[in-house]
Amino acid sequence: MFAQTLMLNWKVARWPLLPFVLIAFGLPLLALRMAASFTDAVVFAPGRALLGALEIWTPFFPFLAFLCGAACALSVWAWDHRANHVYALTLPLPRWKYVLLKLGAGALLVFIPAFAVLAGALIGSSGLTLPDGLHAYPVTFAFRFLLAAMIAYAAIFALAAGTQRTTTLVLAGLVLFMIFGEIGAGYLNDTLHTLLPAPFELLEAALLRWPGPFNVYGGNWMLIDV
Amino acid sequence: MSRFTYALIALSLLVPKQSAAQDVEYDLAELRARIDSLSALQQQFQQAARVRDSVAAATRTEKSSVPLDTAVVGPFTLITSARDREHVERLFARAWSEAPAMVKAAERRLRGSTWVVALKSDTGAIQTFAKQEKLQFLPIIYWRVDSFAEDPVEHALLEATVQTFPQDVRQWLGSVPRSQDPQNLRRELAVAPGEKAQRCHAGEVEACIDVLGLRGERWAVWYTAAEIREHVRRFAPDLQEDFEGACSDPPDTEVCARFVATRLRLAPPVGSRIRASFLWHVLDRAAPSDLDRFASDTTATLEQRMRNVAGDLDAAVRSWHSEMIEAPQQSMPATARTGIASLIWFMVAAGFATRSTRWRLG
Repeated sequence: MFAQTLMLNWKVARWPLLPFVLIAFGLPLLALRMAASFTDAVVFAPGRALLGALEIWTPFFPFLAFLCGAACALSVWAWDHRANHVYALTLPLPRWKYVLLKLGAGALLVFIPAFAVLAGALIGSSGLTLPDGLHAYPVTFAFRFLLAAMIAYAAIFALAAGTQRTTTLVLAGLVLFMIFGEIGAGYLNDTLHTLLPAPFELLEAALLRWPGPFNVYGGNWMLIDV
Repeated sequence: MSRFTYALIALSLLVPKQSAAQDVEYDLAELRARIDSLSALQQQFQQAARVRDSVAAATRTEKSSVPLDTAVVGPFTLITSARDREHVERLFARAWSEAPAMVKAAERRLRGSTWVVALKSDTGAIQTFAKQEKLQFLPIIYWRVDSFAEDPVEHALLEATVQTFPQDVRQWLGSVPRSQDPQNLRRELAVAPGEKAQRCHAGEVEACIDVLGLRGERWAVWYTAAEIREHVRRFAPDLQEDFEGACSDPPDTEVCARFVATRLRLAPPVGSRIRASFLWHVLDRAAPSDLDRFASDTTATLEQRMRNVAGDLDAAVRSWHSEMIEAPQQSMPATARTGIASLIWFMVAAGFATRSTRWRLG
């Protein structure tokens, strides 16, 4: 059953994934080539120049990882959404098993752009002469990309697996929490002299800092480092 | 002279004299008693000074548009809004109790330091008050207190401590950095410009002493002529002709150094963060008496003072280097920890997906 699910997911996701795979392969290659050309024949502080040139590219990779994960998650549910999940509901297996099969098969597809990043990083760093003290980390870099894409895939897969009503409730709940939380925290801070954090600060701490789900998007996205 | 006077003189000669040793013992005991009484007086003086400072602060708070209050934590007087006073006092008390040894050793020198503190609220009014009274202003974004170096209160304690150091130390250090992330320090040293900085990164002690600037701002020691020439070519091409005149090959180091310092404004190989990490490393391991001597000695050179407070400067450089370069590699890689957290959240999302209402039919 898993092989069939995988084949089905591959058929539906291969074309939407293709541009992301090409970008995932080309972006590290481009970043490394441009950084190397910028630091060629630099005698004074070549390491600093190289890191500075590479740092410009670091925001693109977590963003690309998110897009790859989102593209996979939405693609694997595309046919089900179009047919109102009739096919899934007629299958002689428990619902949760169906969802897990789909999740696993889609997760395998997320490996494709991650391998593309690894290939681009390996090829780009192999021809590079690095200044003393600096090393290339293509495998760690690609692994971080994979984690970021997987988290985005899982989050959007879970949202897409639910009903439209559930998604609306989740998003509306977030918005209401931000609005009323801001008002409530401000009121309590003023009247009771508390130090409650603003909802945005709470969400940032809960989601983006370890052990939050999106903490992988922070951290070190440098392909070359000490 | 009258007979009475003769009698007095005769009587004094007859009175047995105390021995020299007994004289010394009496003097020491008397001196000790005097010192003890003076210590008690000194404590009373310090108490009165604290009361005077509090009264002065209270008088100042009356001039603010926001109700202010005063707290005293350790050697510091804190002025803040009345409703935030307890929080501020708690923050400073925690920071003071957890402050490194070199900060606590500076308690005597820090006495009388006054801060105007704003805890997110009424920041504008409190800052205006601080400007009017010419006091130090410290805004605290409470929910951004993370590690030691990022906590604004603990950073303020460090800054206040550095202010008690001699002028040349403060000039050498520059600003007190906030972040002492070991990874950033390693990175800064690894990519520091110049061959001398690379030798320091490799572990050469003498190179590190030079690169840290302990022997003064010596451009000719930090950079070769070729390196400076490259810097001029890339960043100051209009000075190239003057540079060739001042720093011909082989370079006249005096003229070249003057040119580099005054015309080129070349930065040292390592900045405040690396210098501060070394200074904290040395001072945290020093005895309080050595710290006091370091802070009060204005005659010795910086290098000599570092040797005095560190004991063995070479060993201090070696231990600092190994702590900075090697230690971060021994801790669990952040990526592995991130991977475990991501895997757990993946499973949580999977659980939500399988429990969706869509799949709970019948």
